[in-house]
Amino acid sequence: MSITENPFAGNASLSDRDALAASLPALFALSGIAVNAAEARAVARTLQRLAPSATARHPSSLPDASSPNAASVPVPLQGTPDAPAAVSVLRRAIP
Amino acid sequence: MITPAGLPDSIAALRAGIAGGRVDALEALRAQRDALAHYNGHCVAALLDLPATIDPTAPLAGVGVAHKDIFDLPRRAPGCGRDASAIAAAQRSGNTPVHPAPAVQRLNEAGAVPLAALVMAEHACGATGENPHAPRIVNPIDAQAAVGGSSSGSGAAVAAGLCYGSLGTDTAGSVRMPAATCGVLGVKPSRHRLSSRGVAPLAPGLDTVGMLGRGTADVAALLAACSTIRQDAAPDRWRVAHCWDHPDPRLGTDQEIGSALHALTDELARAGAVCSEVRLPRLPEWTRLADVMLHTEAATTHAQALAGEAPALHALPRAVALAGAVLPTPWYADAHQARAAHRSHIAHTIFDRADILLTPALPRGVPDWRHVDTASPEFDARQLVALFSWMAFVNYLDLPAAVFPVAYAANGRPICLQAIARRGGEGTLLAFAADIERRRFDACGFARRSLTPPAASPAALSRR
Repeated sequence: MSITENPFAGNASLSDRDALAASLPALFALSGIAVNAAEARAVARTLQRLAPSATARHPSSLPDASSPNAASVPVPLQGTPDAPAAVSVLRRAIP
Repeated sequence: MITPAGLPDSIAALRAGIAGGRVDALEALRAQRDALAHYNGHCVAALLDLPATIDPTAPLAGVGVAHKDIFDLPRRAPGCGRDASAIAAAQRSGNTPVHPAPAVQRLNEAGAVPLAALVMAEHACGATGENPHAPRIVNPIDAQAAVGGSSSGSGAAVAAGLCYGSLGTDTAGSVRMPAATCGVLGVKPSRHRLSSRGVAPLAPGLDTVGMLGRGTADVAALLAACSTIRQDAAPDRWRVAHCWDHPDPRLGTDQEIGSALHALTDELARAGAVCSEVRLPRLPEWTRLADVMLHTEAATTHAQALAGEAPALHALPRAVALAGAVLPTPWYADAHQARAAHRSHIAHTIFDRADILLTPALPRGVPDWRHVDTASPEFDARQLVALFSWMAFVNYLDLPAAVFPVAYAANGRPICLQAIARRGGEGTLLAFAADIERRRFDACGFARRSLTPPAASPAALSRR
């Protein structure tokens, strides 16, 4: 179902949520899915939240969870700092 | 304690009554079904017919169970929390199953008869029992308290004493959140320890069949009947790793919850356990990877509905699936590919040194339903996020986990912890749960409420 040649794979256009949301209906249409503006905005928030972060390194590159230095490992935060308003609407639906 | 059907509260006590001739097994099942039929907590999706006869020598004869409405039953396709017209259309399609799901069938063969299919969040998408097609499920502990989802009917029915156990499914906490909010034991094994055949999928890479019950002995007996899981003997000295603080400071643990959890590890340490505090800095990343898998696989599961070629999804499952439809494939591939390395990492850093890893289950306790219902004017997204902030990473790492109360808060709602074991360590989890149940609840189940039936309930059971 995911689109192999997805333009967001490179993570280049994810910083501007409005632009991302505006581009989504056309991408959905490629799969025959119609979405409204509210759904596109919600999906844009989810894409931003789930984008690979610079801190999401391979396990071998991180210290042990129990190591004294573990606390210094940068942790990618979920969502955006202005919770609750920016907590993704989609997070409501995670089972 | 006595259930609303007027029966003993535990499987062992019920079976003793049957073996001693004080209780008739078939009459016991009828009384349990009647109690479910008259209960007004809105947890029943469909009552099932009882068999005309049963084998009284079966090890679980007389034990009534009721499962999430996501399992195949004979001549009944799972309703999956859909609206009545969609369920009726599915039944009319002629694609109804002939045989029950193997997990249900194995319980049935052991004598544990399914009494009802239980309400759930639509297509298993929901951290609470919110379902626009069904009335709000009432939490038997406190009518104002939320019932976690998506196996919401399972949590409520077990907590109310309406059945001795319930099969549920857990993709990102859907067995554990109902258990935690309703104050019962919820066990999410590693995937495939219980058969997932005959179970409607959401995200097959994460979906896991689990069990809810009021006490460890009940859950162990039911799991033994439908899987190879057996409770281990407790070690002479537990090695316990605990992490009470989420690395994201916005998802911190309430003071009352944290104090109760710290008190438990202090108690275990005084009893000789080796307790060590650990941090889980990768928890947010594991959660992100779980969510990438969840959304992508849900989009595949519901591809036809998204494209208008199958009945439309309601808002919550549609939201989950929509995002997956445009998630870049490399993100999913990376999540899948990194999974084994992350599993290996936690195996070596935590479980080489500990039998059990403890975390909070609900770091802010059991919320009011009106604060986590998305249609409520008092909806508070932070409280909803707190419900599942410690859940999805366990599914990503495919570890067995159990959630159960260790204390009760000042407001009477359960304070639960999550115990996690190495892969294949379900027997260890059961041993640990039994140890805590013995220490905190005199081995009488985790519930702290009366199961005395309300006046209108048909609790009268004819006894020999």
